Amino acid sequence: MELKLHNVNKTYDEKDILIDINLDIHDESGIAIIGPSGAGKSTLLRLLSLIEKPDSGEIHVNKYDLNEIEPEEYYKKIGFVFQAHTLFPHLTVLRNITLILEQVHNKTKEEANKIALDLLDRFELSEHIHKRASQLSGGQSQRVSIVRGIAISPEVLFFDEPTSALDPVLTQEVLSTIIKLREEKMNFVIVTHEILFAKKAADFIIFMDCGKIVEMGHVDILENPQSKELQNFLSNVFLW
Amino acid sequence: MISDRQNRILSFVAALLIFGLFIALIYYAFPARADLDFSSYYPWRNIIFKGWLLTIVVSIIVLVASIILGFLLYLLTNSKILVLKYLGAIFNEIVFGSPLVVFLVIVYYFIGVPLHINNRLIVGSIALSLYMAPYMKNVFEGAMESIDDMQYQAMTVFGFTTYQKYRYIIIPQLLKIIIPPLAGNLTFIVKGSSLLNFIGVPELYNQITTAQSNTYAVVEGYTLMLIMYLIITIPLIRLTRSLEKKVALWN
Ligand SMILES: Nc1ncnc2c1ncn2[C@@H]1O[C@H](COP(=O)(O)OP(=O)(O)O)[C@@H](O)[C@H]1O
Ligand SMILES: [Mg+2]
Repeated sequence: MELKLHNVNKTYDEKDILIDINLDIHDESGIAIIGPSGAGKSTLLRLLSLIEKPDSGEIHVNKYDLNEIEPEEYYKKIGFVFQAHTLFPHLTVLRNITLILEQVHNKTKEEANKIALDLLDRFELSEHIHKRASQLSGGQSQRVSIVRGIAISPEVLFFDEPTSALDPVLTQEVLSTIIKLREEKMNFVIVTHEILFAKKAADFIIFMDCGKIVEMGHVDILENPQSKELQNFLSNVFLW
Repeated sequence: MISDRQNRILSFVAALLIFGLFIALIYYAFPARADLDFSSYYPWRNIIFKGWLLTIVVSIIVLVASIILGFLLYLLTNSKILVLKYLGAIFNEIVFGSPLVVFLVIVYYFIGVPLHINNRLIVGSIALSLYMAPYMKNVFEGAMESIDDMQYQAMTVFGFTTYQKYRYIIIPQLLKIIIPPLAGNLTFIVKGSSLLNFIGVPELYNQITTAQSNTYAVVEGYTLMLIMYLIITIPLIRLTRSLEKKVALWN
């Protein structure tokens, strides 16, 4: 996957949230964004997925220039897994997945069902297909969200803290699902506070603080952090 | 041993008996009680039945009209144009502050009479619908808030068009959320419709009071009235509860 950002800025209510973000990443398939809460990680992810636009700057994801592309076109190329509560609660697990395939990706009902059922089977969710999304446990619900994200065969899958609403056991359940994706060479960008997981699942680490990228590089930087901020952050995280 | 189900039925029958005994006790202990005799209402049965049907019809008309008015009021009070927002807010305050019967009579004299709407049924339905609109507005407000913000972001990033968002995701969820409170408001409307008597709509209350002034059997009249209202409202209340339970499962 390629990520290229040039002088990207974002403000909310005249407050600087992202300040002059620059990135140039080639040929990495797993990217983890870490950093304290309020650093701007989710905001960056919303810009990368074109849920929002930057105030200024350029963003390229793979061959797409996000200032140029029609959002509808771009949304067909990416998947997104949110923190929690974004399965549509009135629909069954199966329908949560097939609805997008049928309506947005123009698959027939049969094609959509086949794709969804195969994936749900592979992720050991077959027994839940006819449950309403609102009847699932937190962990199941996030795993279904992941299946929904990959069902459209996205070029990149974005995750925003997919386990932060879960207890440790369910967290492991979801994280091993994501590691499975990595073994299948899925490109993803994940915001996470699970540092051990980031070490295992990511090739490239971006550490953010106060709206800036403070340190980034190969996953090794977690073993050997250069900046004071990352050192502090890691020592606090490991205390937990 | 009795089963859970039998236990529930027996307990319910026992509760009904106790309730009946209690009423009988009050009735026989009450020195000035009338000797209940419903037979004088028999000749009035057709008129009373018509009134009862009209109560149902008016309630349904008002339900539909107040849903529409309530939605318009929702749009008004959530408008970005401040004048419209305040217009909606003022109307809400007036309604919430007014006793229903006073509101109905005022609408009759200030809207019905000047506009020459002679059909009392129409004026009455308009008045009751206007009164119910803010209650309906609250139902819509609650429903809109119940869809998580993140769901809107999700709909966007999955590439749904505006039409698809409403058709497949927003409206189905809203319907499920608003149906129980709507059923609750319908009960409120049925009860409130009895006050349309004051502007001369020949609904149940009105017809029985007409009969009363001929039969002079006042207590019997009100007893009859109570029973006929309960025949409408108790099933509605039960329906509301079961809908509420069903909806609770979805969350
Ligand atoms: N929609 C928004 N409107 C206003 N401020 C926002 C909005 N979203 C995020 N912020 C602010 O931007 C900052 C960064 O938020 P966020 O990107 O969510 O951080 P992180 O995901 O790293 O915790 C926070 O101070 C937050 O309050
Ligand atoms: Mg965040």
